[in-house]
Order: sequence, then structure tokens, then C-alpha cells
Amino acid sequence: MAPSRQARSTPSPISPFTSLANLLRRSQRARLILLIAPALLIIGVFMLLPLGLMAYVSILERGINGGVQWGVHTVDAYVAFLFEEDLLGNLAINPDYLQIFGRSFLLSFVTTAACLAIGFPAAFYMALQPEKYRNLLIFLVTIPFWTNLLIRNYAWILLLRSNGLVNESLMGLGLIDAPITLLYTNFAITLGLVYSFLPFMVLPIYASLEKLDLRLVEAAFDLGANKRRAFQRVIVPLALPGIAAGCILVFVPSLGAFITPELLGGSRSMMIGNLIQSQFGAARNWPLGAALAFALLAIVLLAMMVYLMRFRRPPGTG
Amino acid sequence: MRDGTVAAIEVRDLTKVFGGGSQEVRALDGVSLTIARNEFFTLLGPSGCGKTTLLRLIAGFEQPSGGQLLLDGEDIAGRPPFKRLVNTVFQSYALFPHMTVAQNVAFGLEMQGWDGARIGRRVAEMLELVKMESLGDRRPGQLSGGQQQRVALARALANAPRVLLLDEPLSALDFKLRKDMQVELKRLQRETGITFVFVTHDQEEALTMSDRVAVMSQGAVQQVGSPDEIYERPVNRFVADFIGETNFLPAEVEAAGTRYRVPSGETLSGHDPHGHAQGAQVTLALRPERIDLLAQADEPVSGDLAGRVAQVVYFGTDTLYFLELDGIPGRFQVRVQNRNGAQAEFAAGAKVGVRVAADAVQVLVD
Ligand SMILES: Nc1ncnc2c1ncn2[C@@H]1O[C@H](COP(=O)(O)OP(=O)(O)OP(=O)(O)O)[C@@H](O)[C@H]1O
Ligand SMILES: [Mg+2]
Repeated sequence: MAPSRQARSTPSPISPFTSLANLLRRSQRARLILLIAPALLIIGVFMLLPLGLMAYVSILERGINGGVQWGVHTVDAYVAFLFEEDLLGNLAINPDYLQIFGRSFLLSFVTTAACLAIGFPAAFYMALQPEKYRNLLIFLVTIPFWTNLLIRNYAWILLLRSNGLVNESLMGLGLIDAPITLLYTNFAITLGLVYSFLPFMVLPIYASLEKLDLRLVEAAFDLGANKRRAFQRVIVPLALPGIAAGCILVFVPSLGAFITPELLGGSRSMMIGNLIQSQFGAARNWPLGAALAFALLAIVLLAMMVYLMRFRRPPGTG
Repeated sequence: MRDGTVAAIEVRDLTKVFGGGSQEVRALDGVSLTIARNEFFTLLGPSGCGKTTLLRLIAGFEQPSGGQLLLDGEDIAGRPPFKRLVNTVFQSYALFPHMTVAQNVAFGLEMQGWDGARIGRRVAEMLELVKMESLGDRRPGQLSGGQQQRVALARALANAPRVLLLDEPLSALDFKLRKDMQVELKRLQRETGITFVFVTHDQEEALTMSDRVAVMSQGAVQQVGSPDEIYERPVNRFVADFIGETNFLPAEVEAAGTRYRVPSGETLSGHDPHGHAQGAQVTLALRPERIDLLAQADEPVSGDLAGRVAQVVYFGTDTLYFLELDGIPGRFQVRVQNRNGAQAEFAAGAKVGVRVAADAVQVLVD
């Protein structure tokens, strides 16, 4: 065979496709990098970049009319989080923001507890249904998501306000004489949060309960455990990964929620989300907003770490 | 009871119906059994005959649709599982995956409110009994099937139940391990003195391990007896067919309780627990190993049948001959020990005589 003909039949060596293919064939590492590149790109562009930007903003001097003064660095925002400069220029501890953080944690905690109290029995009930009803029940649980969060919160306003459905009904039944204050309270916020985040509790718990082998419960009965003990010692421990996931999925977004406290809580029941939003909005203090967001992020990351250390599956339980 | 001892378990006319209407399943249909204390009692039957259902009723996981269930002479209807002195070794083992081996074994003791030190001693004792001392800190997921099985046993035995229910506990094990565990189970039963109710669909396992066997079919008990009774004296065609290999011959009663005439005209002497009257049509059961083959040249005696070898199957320890008998429909099996090595005594096509051992014929009800 003539060498010239052979040379012509192979594709042009400078084709980018061919050279890439050759590179991939030669190098295991090149192939690996190419495979994880899309994931890295997404994490980089959509997570690390904005986070880095926010971190940078939090150590910049605030702009007079909002925004920041690029290149002017200061830790003012972090100081302002805890301290307040009085008229003489001394720093005094300012508990306002801490209070808001405290309230947010308290309300989120109560929300999580309430979601768990309602969500576990609901998930348990769902898991015990015949298979054909279960998918229907999951479907029903997700129905609230079909409506916009704002609309659902406005609906709660209609229910809870002085002349709302709840008060009117209670008065109509003669249980109360005058309307009770429901709206613009911590109660209203918690109610709204529980309502919004309940599915996030139900679904992971359901997922772990559905996998639970009922024969294990029978084994517990067989060994002398009554219903309560079988529940405590077998059902709950085996559902624990689902419970933990549900708690995180409710607690974390509750902490950062701002639509619900904004609409149902009024001005006196601010949460972290509202605070951050107001710093970027009305208060025009971007660095403080960014610093607050980072404080929140730090706490959430801490919670996640505790979760991972505590609930990582022990070997052999797969 | 008459002799003054109370049965560990007494089942009277127990019925269990699942579902309703067109989907009704009679899983148990009037089962009556008496299981003595310290007995190794086996429920044997094909898949779906109601063995598991009976165990679940005894354990209390299901409620009977009718009949009575007595534990140590006490009616336990409506008593929840955790108030019955009965423990179960589940077919699937059902070990708690989130607990270690030792914690699994300790579970029942904790439920009974034992204190920590006593539990520790008992758990060690139990793990030693099943030879698992060194694996107490493992989780079930880190154990082999046989090890899990032994943990399940230790866990069920720790509470010192009056009765231990075992639902096909060996079915997931390979042949060798299975043989070892059979010996082990027998030893445990002797050492602990606990009544074992053992479920299996493996007839060999049932025959080798049990004091008594109940053969079940379609929700009903067909026969209860010692392994040799079940094997040598099956009462009906189902039992004879289910356990071991059997030849069935149609016959007419010539003299009630003694002589039975087969279609080829010969008469065989047989054992009839049912008392068929003279002239009745019956079925005779003959085990293949209770039959001798004779060369054509041998002098036939009264009761010998004649036939031709159709097929020879070599089994190592013995050889199975399939015969066609003169004047009798169907195939007839004869199993002959290979005393002279692999050389078969008769080749396919050979004419042979068939001599049935004296008490080998069992008369069945159909
Ligand atoms: N919960 C139930 N609902 C409806 N039918 C059932 C139920 N449990 C058992 N059955 C039916 O009852 C019959 C007896 O079942 P059982 O589980 O007792 O059989 P088994 O003898 O243990 O069989 P195997 O050897 O296969 O385990 C079967 O026909 C089964 O389909
Ligand atoms: Mg079964």
C-alpha cells in the first residue's frame, strides 16, 4: 500500500476533536477533569462566585446611597452587628440584632418542633397505607406548592385578621366576644412557617419510614416491647436519618424566611431574613446585610456539620 | 390433660381467613394440634399451606378467625405478642440493623426490665451458646447469613421463652452450613429444654430433627406423628407423596386388614389404619427401597410381581430402577443399594421379578 494514500485517508491531525480524543485516550487525569468540569463550573459560577462577592462586600465601606465603596476596606459591618457607636464615639453593646437573631432561632426552633410533631404522625400514617394510596397521599402533600408563597401568606392574613374567618367563626360560635389578636404576632409567623415548610418535614420522614421493615417492629413486639417501646427503640432510630433531614430542611429555610414574617409578623416581629432584606433595601447598608448573611451562613454550616457527624450512617446499616 | 401434664401449645379447630368476598383465603381451616413441653415439633408442608400463618397466630401477630389457642393450658386469645412467653426466629432474621449483635440480644431482656449487669452476663452466655462471643460489637450488616441466623437464635432464646417458634430459619443457608445449624439447633433444644416449633418445607430436615412432625396441606393438618410413622405409615396419598418417593398401586381389599389384590392378580399383605371393608377399592403405597429385584431365573413366590426394566438411574450410593409391571399401569420405582459398586445389576430391557418386603405396604385413604 502506498504511504501517500494512507496519509490522505487519516483525518487531518489538527482537527480539535481528534486531538482532544487522543488526549483523553492517553490521560486518565484529563478524562477525570473533563468529567467533573461541568459540576465544578456550576458550583463555581452559582455558589462560590456570589458567596465570594458577598464576603467581599461585607468588608467594604458602605456607599452613601446604597451600594459599596469598592476598594475601601473596613470591618465596620461586623462591629455594627454587635456594637453601637454612641454620640461620644464609644462602642456599646447593641442587643437589637442579637435579639432578632434570637427570635429567629426561637421561631425556627418552634416551627421545626411543630412540623416534627405534625409531620411524623402524618408520614407514619402515609407509610402504613396500602401502596396504591401512598402516591396519591404524596401528591396531596405537595399540592400547596402549586400556589405562590405570597398568595398563600395573604390567604393566612384573610384567615387570621380581626374580622377574618377564624375570629368570625369563634364569635359566631359564641366562644369569644371580641376578636382576638392573631395576625402580626409570633404565633402568626410560626403558623405561617409551619404551614409553608411542613412538606419538607413529611417527605423525608416518609421516605425513611416507607423503607422500614415492619417485621422489625414485629420482632420488637415478639421480644416483649409494647407499642411505645417499639416506637422509641426501633421505629424512631430507623427513621432518624429522615427526621434529621426533615429538621434541617425546615429549620434552615425558616431561619432565612422573610416573606412570611414580613406579611404575618408586622414590624415588631422581625426575623433575620427581614433584617438582611432591609439592609440591602431601605437601610442601604449592603456591608451590614452581607455580614448578617454570613453570620447566618456560619450558623447553618455549623448545624450541618453537627448533623453529618451525628447521623452519618454507621457501616453495615445500608 | 389426662396424664396430668399440660401441653405447651394446644390448638383447637383453629381457622384463619384472610380477605373477604371473592378474595377470601382460608389460610388455616380447622387445625388441631397438641404440642408437648420440650418437644421438637415440626410443621412440614408445601409453600402456601399455612405454616407461617399458624406460627403468626401462636406468636400473636394475627388474630384467629375461629377456634382456640392455649399456651400452657391458658387461652391466649386477644393477648398481644409482647405478653406471650413465646419468641420467634423470623425467616428473615429481622435483626435490628441499628444495634450491635450484643444490643440485639439484650433487647428482650431490657424490655423485661433486667438491670445492666445481669443483662451483660446473660448476653455473654447467649453469645457463647451460639458461638458468637467474639462478634458482639458487630452490626448485623457485617455478618454472614449463618452468623445472623445464630444471632437471631440467641436473641430469641435470651428471654428463656416457653416456646420458640422458628420459621424456616435454615432456608437461606448453603448445604454445609445448613447441616451444621441443624445439629446446633438440636443441641440447643436439648440443652435449653425449650419447646421448639419448627417450620420447614424440607422433608429431610423435618425427619432428621423432629420428635414429631405435622404434615400440612391447604390449611389443614394431614398427619401428625414421629418421623418414622410419617415416613413408614403415611395415612393418605398426600403425605405418602410429599414425603420421600412412593409407588402407588390400585388394589381391591381381598381380606380386610390383611390381603390386597392388585390388577395383575397377585395379592400383597398390607397395613391398613383405616379399616377398609372387603371388596373396597384402595390405593397401596410402597417405598422404592423396600422392594427387591429378582433375576428372571429366581424362583418366584406368592406375591411376587413381574415386570421389565425401563430406565436405570445411577445415584452413587444406590441405583434407581424404573419398571413397567405386567398388568399394572404407570411406572414403578425400585431403589437398590450399590453393594457391588457402580455396576448395575439389571440393564434396561431386562425382565425382572419384584418382591415386596413383608410389612412394606401401606393402605391409604385417597
Ligand atoms: N396477610 C395475608 N393476606 C392474604 N392472604 C394471606 C396473608 N398471609 C398469608 N396469606 C395466604 O394464606 C396462605 C398461607 O400462607 P402462609 O404464609 O401461611 O404459607 P406458608 O405455609 O408459610 O408458605 P411458605 O412455605 O411459602 O412460607 C397462602 O395462600 C397465602 O397467600
Ligand atoms: Mg412461610
